[in-house]
Amino acid sequence: MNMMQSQIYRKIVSILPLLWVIFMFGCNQSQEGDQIAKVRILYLPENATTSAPVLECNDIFYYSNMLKDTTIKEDRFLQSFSKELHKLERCSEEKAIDLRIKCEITYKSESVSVLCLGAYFNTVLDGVLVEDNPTLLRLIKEKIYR
Amino acid sequence: MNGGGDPSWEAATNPDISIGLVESTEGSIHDNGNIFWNPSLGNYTETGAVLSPATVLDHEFDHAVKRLTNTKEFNKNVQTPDKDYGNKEEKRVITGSEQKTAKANSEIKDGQVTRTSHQGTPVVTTGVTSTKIDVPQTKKYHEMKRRKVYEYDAEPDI
Repeated sequence: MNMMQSQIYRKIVSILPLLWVIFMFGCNQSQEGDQIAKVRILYLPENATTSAPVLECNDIFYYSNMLKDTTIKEDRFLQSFSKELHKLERCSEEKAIDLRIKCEITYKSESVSVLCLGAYFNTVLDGVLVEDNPTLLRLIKEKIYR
Repeated sequence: MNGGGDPSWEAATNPDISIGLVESTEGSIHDNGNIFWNPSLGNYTETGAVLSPATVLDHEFDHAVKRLTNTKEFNKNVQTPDKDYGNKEEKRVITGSEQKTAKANSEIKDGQVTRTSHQGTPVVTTGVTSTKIDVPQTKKYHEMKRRKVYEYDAEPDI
């Protein structure tokens, strides 16, 4: 490798971390800046009891006899939902999982996020366990179990 | 009678209540006094116990009987969160009739409990009163569950 090539190589290596930061920032911006177009909520009845916990979000489809489905496009709800959604933070502790509600969030950019919630505990956003947000859960429950 | 199954007995003999029971190929679930029950599906718990499908049904009957004989208390229990059991109603059934029925059905040994939470994994057993896991059928069940696609006709708007 001659000196010229070596200098170019060093420059590329030195800007890689910067490019990575820009890329990650861009990803976050597009998700947070993106407005929610609709939220489709699939859920089990409020007081339903299952013999075993619902460990994965899609497991609620295995109770299709009792599964309910609604889609919300109402602006006021979507704004409150979005506000609470952005407050979610990654959870570091391990928790026993039992889910009841699946929210398919469609953004105006047509990208989709999936939020899963238990009856009282457990919040999973795009497969990542996050801290529970009682306000968000209450908001959703008020809409589907009213 | 072997000393267990009190909720099932109550469901069958109490003239004041009527419980809907539907055979299902999916997960066993109770809501509003109706039960969808999979007669092949037991529950493998964190204590190493396997609850037979019959014991699972008895568990759901307990919820349904409570719902129909004391709705106020059932609603209060099911809406009271519990860190280990999910809610107070699950705790009542799991620490109550589930232990008695599982013991009477020889599904747990002396000193053993079925579970100390609401946790458990559905398993296909070799019969409705069996605790023997049918491994190939259990694998098939979980594969089917993964493949399940929920179809709907329309998305109602609010």
